[in-house]
Amino acid sequence: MDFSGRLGGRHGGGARGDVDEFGRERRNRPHHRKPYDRPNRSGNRGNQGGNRAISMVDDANDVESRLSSLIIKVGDKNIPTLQSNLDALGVVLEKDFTKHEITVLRTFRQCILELPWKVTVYSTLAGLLNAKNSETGAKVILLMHAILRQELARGHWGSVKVIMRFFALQVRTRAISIETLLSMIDVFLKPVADEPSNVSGRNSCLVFIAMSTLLWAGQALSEQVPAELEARLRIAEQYVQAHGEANANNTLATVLHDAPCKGTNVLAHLLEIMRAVAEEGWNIDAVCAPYTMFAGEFAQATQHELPELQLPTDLPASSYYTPPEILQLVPHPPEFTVRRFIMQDFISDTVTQLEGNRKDCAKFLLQVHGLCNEDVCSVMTTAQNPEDMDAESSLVFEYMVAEVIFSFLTQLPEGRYREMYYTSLAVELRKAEPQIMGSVLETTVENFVSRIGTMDVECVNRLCNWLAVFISNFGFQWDWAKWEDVVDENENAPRRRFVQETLLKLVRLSYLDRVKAQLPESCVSLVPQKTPGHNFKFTLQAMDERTKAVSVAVGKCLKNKGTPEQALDILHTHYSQWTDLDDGERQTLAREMLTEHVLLLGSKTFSHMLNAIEKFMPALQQFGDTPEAKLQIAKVVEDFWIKHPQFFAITIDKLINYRVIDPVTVVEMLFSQSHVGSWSQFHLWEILRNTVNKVNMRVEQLQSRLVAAQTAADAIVADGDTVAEQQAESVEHVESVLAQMLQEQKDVVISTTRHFVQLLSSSEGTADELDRAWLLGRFKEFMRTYRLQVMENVQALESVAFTPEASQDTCQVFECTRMLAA
Amino acid sequence: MEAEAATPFDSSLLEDRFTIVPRLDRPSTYKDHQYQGTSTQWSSDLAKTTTLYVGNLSFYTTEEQLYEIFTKAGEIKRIIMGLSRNTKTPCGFCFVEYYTHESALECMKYVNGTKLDDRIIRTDLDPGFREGRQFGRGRSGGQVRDEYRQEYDEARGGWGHMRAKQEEERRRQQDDSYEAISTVPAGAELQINSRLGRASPSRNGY
Repeated sequence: MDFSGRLGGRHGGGARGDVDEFGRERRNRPHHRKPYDRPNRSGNRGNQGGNRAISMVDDANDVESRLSSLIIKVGDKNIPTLQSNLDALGVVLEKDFTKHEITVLRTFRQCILELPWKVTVYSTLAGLLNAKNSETGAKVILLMHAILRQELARGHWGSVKVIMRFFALQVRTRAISIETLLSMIDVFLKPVADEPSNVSGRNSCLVFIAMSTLLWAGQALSEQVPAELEARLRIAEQYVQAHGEANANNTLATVLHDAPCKGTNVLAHLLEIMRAVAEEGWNIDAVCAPYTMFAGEFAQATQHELPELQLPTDLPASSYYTPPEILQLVPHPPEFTVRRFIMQDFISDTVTQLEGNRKDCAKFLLQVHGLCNEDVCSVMTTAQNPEDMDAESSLVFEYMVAEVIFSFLTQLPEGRYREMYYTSLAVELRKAEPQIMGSVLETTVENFVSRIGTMDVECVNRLCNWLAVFISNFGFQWDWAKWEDVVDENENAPRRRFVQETLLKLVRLSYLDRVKAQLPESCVSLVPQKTPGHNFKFTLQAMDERTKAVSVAVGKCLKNKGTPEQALDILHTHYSQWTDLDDGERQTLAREMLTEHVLLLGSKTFSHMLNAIEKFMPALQQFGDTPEAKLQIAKVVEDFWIKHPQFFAITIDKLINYRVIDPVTVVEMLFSQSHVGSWSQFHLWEILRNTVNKVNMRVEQLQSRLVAAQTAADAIVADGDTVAEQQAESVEHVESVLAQMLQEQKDVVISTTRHFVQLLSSSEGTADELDRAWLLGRFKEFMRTYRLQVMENVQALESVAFTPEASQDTCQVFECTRMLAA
Repeated sequence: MEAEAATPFDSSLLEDRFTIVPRLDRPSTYKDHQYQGTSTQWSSDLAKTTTLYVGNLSFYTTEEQLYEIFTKAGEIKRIIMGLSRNTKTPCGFCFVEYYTHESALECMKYVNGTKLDDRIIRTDLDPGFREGRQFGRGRSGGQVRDEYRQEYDEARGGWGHMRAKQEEERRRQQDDSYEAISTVPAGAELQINSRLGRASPSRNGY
């Protein structure tokens, strides 16, 4: 990028002059600075005379936004003039610093946080400012350190990581001393230095950040204090080893099971990368390192002292985070492993740091290669003939982006952000580069799907959700013919199931005819023949006379806005005459009759369903008086919506909300014998997940309500108010509801686990090998997703679920869950 | 903290929310014109709301479809379809209420601006549904935007209402001023001079 245009409208871009945009001499030192006055001789903006005061305000804003944009844009690309651009910007900033201090500092702060792939540029710039004026330098360095402390206290690990990398490079600009950096790194290593065998999510997160920092500080450290570097590496190595041993054979969080299970954790992989980089003298050659160009300037720089970092002690264990290892979904030349890591590390940081705006994130992602050194990677979006690019002989940038997105999407046990983020981010990428990103994402999906037989079941589900939303954003166009051979596969074969479920999701997002219209003839058999609808049991053809009489009467009553009491009356009048049946049988029939008709009343839309259930809640609750009765209601719902899984799921959800059925009822219904052979169907597990999530959410809400009630009560007690007693009651009330909900949570976890283990340990539980593989996959999903709840009930689970009859693989999943929860 | 006092930089730099990339989960210029309250109240309502206004829907988009896409940002409490005041049929907007404020923000970040039914949907943080807001406020019962819309939009009932009236009026006028032809004027039977020089029969006296 040529700066000459920006710096004062001088054209030609030749040798740099010695005047800046204000026409002043470039090499002014701050102590020479005179009170700011607008030079009239610059000529390019011609502000003179009477309106000078006003234009100065305008100009100040203008200058600020220009300064800001200069900082943001500097070093977008690795070009020969980068050095002089940086130099020029350093001069401009240093000169205007006191006048525009806030703007410069906050822009700088955000550049570090939001443009992580340009860390080498901003480190250099900070170093230049420091070298020119140590007061300015102190402000930049101490601000970033204060932000670091803030982000650390909040547990924003993505930000902590990128700021630490900035500080790693400040050693190169001599803005901080090696000792200062080492003591910062030591803060992160201390927990594992004290206790190397203590493997935990928190420690992994901290070690990961320390290692990432060491990777970028390695060159300076190995040159000056090799022993110190060795010592830190040893601590990290010991931890990685302990981590590896603790998780040996733990494949519970493995996405693809076809690769040997060695590098499936990001720490071990990073360690390998560090070893490789160490062999090259810690030289990272993937991106341009402008700080090497200013060694002379940095020689005399002031090194700043920094206050001590404090690790947070009050964050919940679940807030510690380690990013996923990046999956290899396209072939890459093996000799470029390090470069690939560096680039994908920058891409990952960008995805994490710009989560607040997927649209801009997509645009910036496509520029992350800007600082790459020559021949590091091929870039399709800037190439003349992108289709000629060969992923096997060079690193193709766009494929690296796609790999990062899918690795984040399928991160186990769970990713940092919702799945939908990675979906709409990919949509934006394709919108930004329709041709290239369209084909890159398509190829990556196809490669991923070709390995679907070895993919974790939950990841298959996530990929299916991703693909359906993705396709629905681009006119429902997809090359289904490529997968048409799945029609000949077994119903439960992974690839066929994936294609079919994706199509079902597409139907949910639009409507059957829309999806059918885009399908090649060969694939039409994969979607339902008719638009999903209900399956009302009491149609006129299929009833005996007396059933018909009841059904017609109840139907009429409901249609004419009859009350629950009236409906109950009708049921009673009719069924009491059926003297050939006993009370229980009549009750069962009445229950079914009412439920079917209420569902029919609400079958038009979700709102109708909600209204129908709400209105007949008292009657339904009265009918659902025992666990068996509740189970019957749930089964009637399933039968009614057998052709419409989405309505099935929503209705079940509403019935739980209105307490017509319990969460445990849903568990019993899902694991009923009738589903053996159908474990591959996604909607069953969607319902299970929704149900458990709902229970967990209720518990969480009550816990925070309890805290609120207690604080309120305490405040009143302190004031000696008479209302105190009432408040105390409210605490008691919340406590008792919470206790009830906790019991419900426990029941759900235990009964779900028990069912899973029983089915998986018996030959009756699954239809065949494929059916069992799906069920086992879902079991793993359940255990790792709800590992915290599982851990709270370990003893109960050991006695009820993991009995001696339990199959070996289920016990192994249990073991792995315990390790994962550590 | 004593370290804070010693910072050489302006402490506002630790608080300000400046970002290079604007966040998508901040309130936009959207405003409910019948909102009863000050603009400060509006902002503080939005700062904790669980509800979104959703616009630019097709009239044919169903609640089921809305559930499918909006549930990607969190568990939905309810969806209220926007209906035409007169016909009580969907008129292209809805309110989505989540259980948590975070879900509403994630929806702004991840779902706003994606496509549903081939249309780019727009979401905005909303202070919350009140009875009556489910109905369109346009004079014709639908949304105000459909009153003045000049372009033809098949998924939103074709022409905007004003335009539809104009079109209707034009058609009526056309029908009025041009009567259906029942007898063809005799002149039509006659052959006319062609450029090839063949004279019309009448002139040539055929």
